Amino acid sequence: MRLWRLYLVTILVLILQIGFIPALRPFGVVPDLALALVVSVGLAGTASAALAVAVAGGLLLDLTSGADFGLRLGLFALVALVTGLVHRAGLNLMGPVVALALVAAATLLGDLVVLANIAGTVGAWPIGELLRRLTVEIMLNLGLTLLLRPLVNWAVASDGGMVSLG
Amino acid sequence: MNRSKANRRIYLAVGIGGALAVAGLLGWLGPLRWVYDHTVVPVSSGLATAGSTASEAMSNLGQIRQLAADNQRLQRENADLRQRLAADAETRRDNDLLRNQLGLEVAGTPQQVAAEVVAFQPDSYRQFVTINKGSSSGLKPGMAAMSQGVLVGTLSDVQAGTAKIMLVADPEFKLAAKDQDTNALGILQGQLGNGLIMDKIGQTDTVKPGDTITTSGLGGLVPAGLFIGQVQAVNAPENEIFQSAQISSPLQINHLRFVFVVLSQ
Repeated sequence: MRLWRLYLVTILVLILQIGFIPALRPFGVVPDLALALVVSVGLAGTASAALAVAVAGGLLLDLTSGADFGLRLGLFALVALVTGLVHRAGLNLMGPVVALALVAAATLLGDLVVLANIAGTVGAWPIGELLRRLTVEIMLNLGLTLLLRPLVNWAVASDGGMVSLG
Repeated sequence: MNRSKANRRIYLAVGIGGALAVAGLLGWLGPLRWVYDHTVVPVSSGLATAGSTASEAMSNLGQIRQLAADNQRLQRENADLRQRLAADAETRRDNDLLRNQLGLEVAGTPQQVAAEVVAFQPDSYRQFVTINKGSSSGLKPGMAAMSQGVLVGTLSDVQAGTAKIMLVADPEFKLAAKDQDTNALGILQGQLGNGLIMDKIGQTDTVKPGDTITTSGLGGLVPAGLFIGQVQAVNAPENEIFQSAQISSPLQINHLRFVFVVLSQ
């Protein structure tokens, strides 16, 4: 693995995730490119590389967020560990299906944790609107995961001196 | 690399992550926040502007068909506002004259600090923005932020060079507000679906659609009279102690680029 490629892709994705995507807010939601990166690195690369990306990305997003400090760091670390287990079990060879399933599950979990944190203060729950946002967010995250795959594969590709991590 | 070495790396990463999360929750990430403010914020600022410009362009494209109708509505609104402005100027002159005669202090305009929006909240449910001014510019938590004459939110977390604004549409936002037309008081609250509601309005108070809602100035660092929005609908169940009103704000969160923080007097 050429580390500079992974650093480059990680920095690019995190800058887009912090600056551009939340300002663009397509269809009123904020898609999670950083989550797609963590899952893709965990499946195509190694668990430790995914964890490093998870800690850096989670921390940056938590510093940008006005609430729920530690939520993204914890979620991304958990996702990196799960993708590491999936990788060790050899399920990463099944194509993009596993990555998509992991991203969808992590998006759902992340949203549920954010909503659980404000459950005590929310007066009314617009269920239809929440379901719409969740569905759109999952669809966008799945699309971003597919778009990111070639870039991540390039970033973690072996160049003869690849370091294979568990 | 063997598995035990890989496992050690994983434990190390989890340990670092856990330590950072705990340090952040305890407020011990001051130096890291300083680094973030001086490295990430300048880069994300340009991208945030690009993102909101793109979002505005997309939104404009979708609204082209409504432009003619909007234009007519705005012309009517403009004529109405000109009329009200003329009436207000007359009232202000009378007010100043009476205050002078009674020896009362004439209320001044609060000082404002202009700031640029450099980052938006990275999730779909909470509503915060980060601005590029902080305590070094005299900002304090609880101060009000305005944009285009509308209340945007209040400062929730102030660092030396940056501050976070909890927007009025955040589900945890709460502020004392009043109906400027009837003086009815209530609590303004953000809603999950991005709407605004004015709750805890007494059943004996009068609130009707079209009324102007402003800050009440009761408690905190937010001065009275800052425009919030207009009453859209009123919900007054007969057997409840309070009534509530749906408020429409002209604020468009992802088009925010500049805000003005109102310094408390």
